[in-house]
Amino acid sequence: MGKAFDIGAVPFNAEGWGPPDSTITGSNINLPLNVPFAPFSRSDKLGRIADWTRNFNNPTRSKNPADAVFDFTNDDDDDTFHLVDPKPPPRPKFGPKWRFPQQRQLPQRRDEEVEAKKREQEKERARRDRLYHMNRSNPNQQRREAAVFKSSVDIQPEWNMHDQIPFSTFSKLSFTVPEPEDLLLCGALEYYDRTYDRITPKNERRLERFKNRNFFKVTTTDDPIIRRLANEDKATVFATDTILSTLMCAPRSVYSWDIVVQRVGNKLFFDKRDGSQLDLLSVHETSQEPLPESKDDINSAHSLSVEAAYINQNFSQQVLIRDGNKVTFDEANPFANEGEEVASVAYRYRRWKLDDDMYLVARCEVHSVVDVNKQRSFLTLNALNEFDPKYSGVDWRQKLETQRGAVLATELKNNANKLAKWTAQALLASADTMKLGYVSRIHPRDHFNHVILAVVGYKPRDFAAQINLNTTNMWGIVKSIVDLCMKLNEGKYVLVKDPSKPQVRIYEVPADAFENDYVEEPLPEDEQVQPPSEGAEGGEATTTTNDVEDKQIDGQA
Amino acid sequence: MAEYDLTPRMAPNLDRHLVFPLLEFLQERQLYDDDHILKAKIDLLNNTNMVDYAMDIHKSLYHTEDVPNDMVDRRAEVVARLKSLEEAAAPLVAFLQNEAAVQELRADKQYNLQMLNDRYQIGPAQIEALYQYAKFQFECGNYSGAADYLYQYRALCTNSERSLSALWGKLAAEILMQNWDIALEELNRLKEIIDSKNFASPLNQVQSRIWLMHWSLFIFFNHDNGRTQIIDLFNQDKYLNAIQTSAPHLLRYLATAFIVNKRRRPQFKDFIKVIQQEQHSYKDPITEFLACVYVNYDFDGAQKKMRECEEVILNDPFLGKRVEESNFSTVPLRDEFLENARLFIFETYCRIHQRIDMGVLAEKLNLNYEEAERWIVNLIRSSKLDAKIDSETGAVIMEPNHLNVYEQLIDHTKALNGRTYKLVSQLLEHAQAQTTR
Repeated sequence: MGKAFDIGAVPFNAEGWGPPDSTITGSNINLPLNVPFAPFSRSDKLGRIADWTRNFNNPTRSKNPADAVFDFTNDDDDDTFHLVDPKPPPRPKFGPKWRFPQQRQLPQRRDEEVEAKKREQEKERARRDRLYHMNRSNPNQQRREAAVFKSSVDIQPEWNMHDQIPFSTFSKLSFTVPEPEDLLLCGALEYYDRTYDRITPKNERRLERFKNRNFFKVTTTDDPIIRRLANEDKATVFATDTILSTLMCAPRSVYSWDIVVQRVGNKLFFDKRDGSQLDLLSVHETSQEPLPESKDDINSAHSLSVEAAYINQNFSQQVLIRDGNKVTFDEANPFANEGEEVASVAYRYRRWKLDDDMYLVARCEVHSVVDVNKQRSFLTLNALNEFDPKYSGVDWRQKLETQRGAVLATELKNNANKLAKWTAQALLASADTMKLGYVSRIHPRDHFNHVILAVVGYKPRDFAAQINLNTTNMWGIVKSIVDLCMKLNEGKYVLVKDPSKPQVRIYEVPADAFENDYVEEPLPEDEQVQPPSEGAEGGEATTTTNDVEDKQIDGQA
Repeated sequence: MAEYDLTPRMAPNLDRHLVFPLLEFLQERQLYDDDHILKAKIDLLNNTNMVDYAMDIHKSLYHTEDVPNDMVDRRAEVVARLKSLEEAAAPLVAFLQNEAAVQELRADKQYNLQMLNDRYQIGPAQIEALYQYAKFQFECGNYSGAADYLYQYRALCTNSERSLSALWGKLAAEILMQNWDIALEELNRLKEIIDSKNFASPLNQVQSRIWLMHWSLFIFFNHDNGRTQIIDLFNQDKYLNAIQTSAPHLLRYLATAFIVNKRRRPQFKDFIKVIQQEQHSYKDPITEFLACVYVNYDFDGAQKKMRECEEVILNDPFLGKRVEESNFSTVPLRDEFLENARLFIFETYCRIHQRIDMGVLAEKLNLNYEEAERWIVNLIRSSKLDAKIDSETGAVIMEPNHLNVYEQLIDHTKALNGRTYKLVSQLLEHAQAQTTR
């Protein structure tokens, strides 16, 4: 017979397992009640209140949060100190604004001979800019200063602002659409040349030019097919894939863009202005490294956009088998004249159901076709371009073969918006494969001549998952914008992405805004040589004017 | 010999079902009156659902075939509730038992919840029912079923508090099923959560650590690598602070692990200091043995404590684990402990003597003369002892262990070099910080 046994109180957790909440039961009797508890160790030194000899670099000492009040450190705040910009402000120069006809080509390339003369000046200016940026580089700077951007459209004082939507609300939207319905297929496609899949930086291929092929960037209301579908009441909302992808990927955009919205009867048309940002491709839009700010620099944002658009067009035609063998569809290209040589493109007019009584029709593009196992597959063709390895830190000629993932990751970081829009367009068109070309300058100083270093194919759905592009979020944004615009009265409006902040505004504009009444007339002979320069000057004037408008808008907000 | 029993101090930090193995051990060792043990078991069985077990104990305790009416009523209630919970959890249980259906689950929790809701009409209510069903099964003693259900529940649960509770439950189930490898995994997972979770107050975190250490004793003294891992866990700063704050009795198990472990010698010196500090709040023959050997250098006291340690180990539920081998019963930890304890005494004793009489040594080691001589010969042969035996005088001659002047000078120079290097590094680091600013 042993001693009397008393096991004491054993707690019971009726709702689960684990220790009970000590603030409720007070089961730790040996700790005094109502005294705040802080972890400590008996080997800790006492007298810390006036310990002037503490060693902050001792890794063996564990950081005790209760001692945080004694950890005073004098951290100087350097954020209030910054260099003054020594560059003189640009002098505005006013002149007539050069406007092109409706179906214009991209801006004319300047004369190469004139360009060569200025190359030395640009070299010197680029060196000066690089030194300037190097001196100003700050590791704590998360993004380049947004003030260098300007709005893509001039905000007029008579415009009324109806709404302002921050991109943070876009990120939460979600909407699921059923599979689209194909209404019509127009155009003709050429076959993809599979030998381009085997290009490597060692056996690069020179990028050719296609001056005789016509590329069309027709906006929604100028499309005769869409007009016909609107008259037949096939839908209430009309758009193109370029416009939709701009909306779908809006949270990723940094540069300013604008979309014209026209409410006609019970119909809604999303349009783009002629010559707007949507016709060009951005380069290094989401990069941390700032681009040169001078308009004349071959590496400025605008110059790179023009160059990228040209590269994209030329690439999309070069990788085709151009033997006259074409796949034709229901109708011919609705924008081409008889006998005109047209770039390989097929327009899929598709309809999505947004609501019981609301449909959306969009014109979606595919660029090529390929037969895989006797099954026809549609392709989209796009090209990334490298201009100077110093800006991205990744030299494609060295890394593209050995570290393709690193090259793609860098491009995903620096061109997140462009790649997202390409993916969204491929998803809208239900393309089977996205072909991405890697095109680089022959020399970083020469922005007229390029080579194709590689071509890679991706499944649009897999690529979307890889870049965190969510289909339901894409359509959620479109649906919310459509619902917002449907509540507006009949008239013309414009959606403008703010150049500095991640938000979009919607303005009501006069019915005749953005319409081109210009009648071309001959200019004095000395001015005809450099019309783009005048355009650049006008842009700078726009910058000055737009700053005033922005201040007024901020005042109103 | 119940004087050193720690069960009353352990029980408040254990789940009720984990106390039963301790009571079983105490009953086997006959440390207490049987009636008191049985009464304690019945008290523990209140609130659990093991009614049949309670009835059996009641019959043994009171030597009767009759059982109280409240137990009969309790049994009916338990059976009814079992049916009710079974029905509530049936949809999800049926899904989990369907091999083809389970294949549709993915690593994406949101996808799983959406899929279950759309295609099988399994929503939050059914998932909650699974938790309640698992809790009920655990209280019935069906630890295997509870473990399976809790595993599935944690894969679908979106409430972090409930998920943590389910993890404690699965750990308890694996311990009671003696699945030591799986239990060790759950223990490590739980430890990571406790160390990284934001608790309502530091007191809750300390209490969670104390509970974790108590539950871990079941694993560490049954797992192959447990003696090392108990030191790795208990000897961390945060966990040692918890021991010093609210659970100094756990020092017994840490001390025992240090004594029987050969791979954690470097931390042993620091632990001796802890033993010294904590003598006022907890002491038992094992901690006192270490104090005699390394603090007081009391070899006679150490010898006496060694005999008491044997009793403590035999009567401890975790240390006194018994292994049956072909009609022979042994306690492996006791043998290992005594062997290492003798070694500790011998090492310290030899360090302060040059010539040691074999008879005196045999007396201090609790061995007879021949055993002591054989033991020392084995030590010399295995190069653990730098000594010789003089058979004529029956003495052990220790080789001198002094460093000569040159070696001492080299040691000091190395230390000085290290400190100088560290000082220069800090200065350069500070200078660079100034430059950056």
